[in-house]
Amino acid sequence: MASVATYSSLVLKGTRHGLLASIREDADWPHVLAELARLSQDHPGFLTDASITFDFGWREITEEQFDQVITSLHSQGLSCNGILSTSLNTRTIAEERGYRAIIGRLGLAKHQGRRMRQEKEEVAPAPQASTPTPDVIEQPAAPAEVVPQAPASQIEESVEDSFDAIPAAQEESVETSIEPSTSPSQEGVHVPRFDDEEPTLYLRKTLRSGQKVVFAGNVVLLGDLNPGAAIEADGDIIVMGQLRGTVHAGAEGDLTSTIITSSLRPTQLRIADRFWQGERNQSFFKKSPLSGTLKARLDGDSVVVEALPAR
Amino acid sequence: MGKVIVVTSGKGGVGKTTATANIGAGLASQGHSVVLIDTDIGLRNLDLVLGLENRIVFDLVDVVEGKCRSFRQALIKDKRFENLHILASAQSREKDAVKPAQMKKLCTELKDAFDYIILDCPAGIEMGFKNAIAGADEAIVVTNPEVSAVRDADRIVGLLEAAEIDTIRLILNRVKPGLIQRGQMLSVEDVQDILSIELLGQVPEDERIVHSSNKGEPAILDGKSRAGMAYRNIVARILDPAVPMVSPQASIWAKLRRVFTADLGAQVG
Repeated sequence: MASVATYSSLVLKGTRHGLLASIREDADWPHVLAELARLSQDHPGFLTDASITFDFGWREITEEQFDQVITSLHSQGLSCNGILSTSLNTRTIAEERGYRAIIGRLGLAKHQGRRMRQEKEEVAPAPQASTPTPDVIEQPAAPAEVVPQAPASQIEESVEDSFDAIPAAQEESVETSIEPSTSPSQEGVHVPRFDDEEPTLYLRKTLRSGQKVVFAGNVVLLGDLNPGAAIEADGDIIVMGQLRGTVHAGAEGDLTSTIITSSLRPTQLRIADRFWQGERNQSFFKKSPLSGTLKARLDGDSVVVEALPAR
Repeated sequence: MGKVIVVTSGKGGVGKTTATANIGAGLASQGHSVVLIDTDIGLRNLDLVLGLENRIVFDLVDVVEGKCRSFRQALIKDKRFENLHILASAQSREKDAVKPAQMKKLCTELKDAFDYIILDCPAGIEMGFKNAIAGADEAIVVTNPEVSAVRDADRIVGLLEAAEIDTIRLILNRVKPGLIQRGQMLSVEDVQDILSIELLGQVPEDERIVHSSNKGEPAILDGKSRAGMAYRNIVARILDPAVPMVSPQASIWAKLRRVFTADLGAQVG
């Protein structure tokens, strides 16, 4: 390890498949560019001729911004391997320029942020950054063990299936050459957005045919979702009632979104751009073949439904 | 102070007009003053089912446009029932000839003069539907045990709830007990599982109702009609919610017929 650089706008991660850069969705663009511009300088040797995969998450990237990234990379002797984005526009821009783009986000920056907070609350993390770069503040870098935990790994595997160039962020990947490092450098000023702070809409009613709820966050429905009714949420959907309509979790492309319900006989169930059709007209006649609390999630390319274990 | 009840369904042909005519006749025969309003402008039917077409002078549009002195001039009195009146729809106009605010005003006026104002709603969820529900206090949703009718009824219930009509009750029409027993038709439990609104009654499929509609005689007057019997039960439940439910199962119909001809039959007709 020559040096450990710290960035506040992105998370660099070495994986079996190459280097992944997760760009924080709430970071200023000039700040992102500034930190991108010193990648090779911060990691001399390791980053020579490297090809980087970018996770832009929910961020909308303009053509100009995308070109700035590519220019910055080329000027450092680096290249772009492909991108992950939940935005169709962003993916289109990348594809038009000959880069591979897939729908989704890993949200590593957010996971790192949350882990950082937990670490801080428990024990002071072991100082690891031996020679911090000048602009790094006192905040020690996250320990190497800080990687996304189980919830993230499922989705990463499925991403890997559909686009093998996207690195799989698994435990062993930490041992690759690039030290994962991050730090919210403006701690105290900048409040990062965490997973568990995503807005949640709580509805206490029966959604009837023709009624549709669209929400940029999670949705909890305490009531039935009737055939012909629909919920479309950027995050997770929980239906505590009869689920007979259409649900679309991760509507903006978040592949980690799940659908949880106590009774499943939907017309159609969608997670990101994958879907699962209920049996035709069965919802009217048959009781749900599955009972107990059920969870639908993406497993590779397909939506799988499994019983949540009783605790 | 009267009560305004809209009879609606979403889907066409499920039996709204027949239900309106029979409930109106039933309520009137029990001594309540009743006005039936056909709000299906352009597709006038209610007067036919009651056999009153030849007596229409003024219609609903004339009333809201002030072409007659008051609504009383436009009301047609049914000679068979002392207390039954109908306000016919205009046949040569369109749905937008009446506005929701006008309907609301008319309903408010009628409430002072009558016990029950029953509105026969057109099919669909457009202007005619909005007019019909504008002045309504309660709703009766008529549906058939078919997936399409139930789906439309569910849509209607959602719209009624959005319009803050809180009392919404269900009539399941054209029930065929034999088909349900064979599992080929939705049962009342299947329908209620979806709609989850209070059931007012079930009406069995009855060939006699075709004949009575064509004659202009409400089925409720026909002592032999099974549908007429079901409507008598529905009327009894509108007046007293404690009246027990009748489920149209072939085996118990004979028994029910005895109960109802003894109970209500004397008062009807």
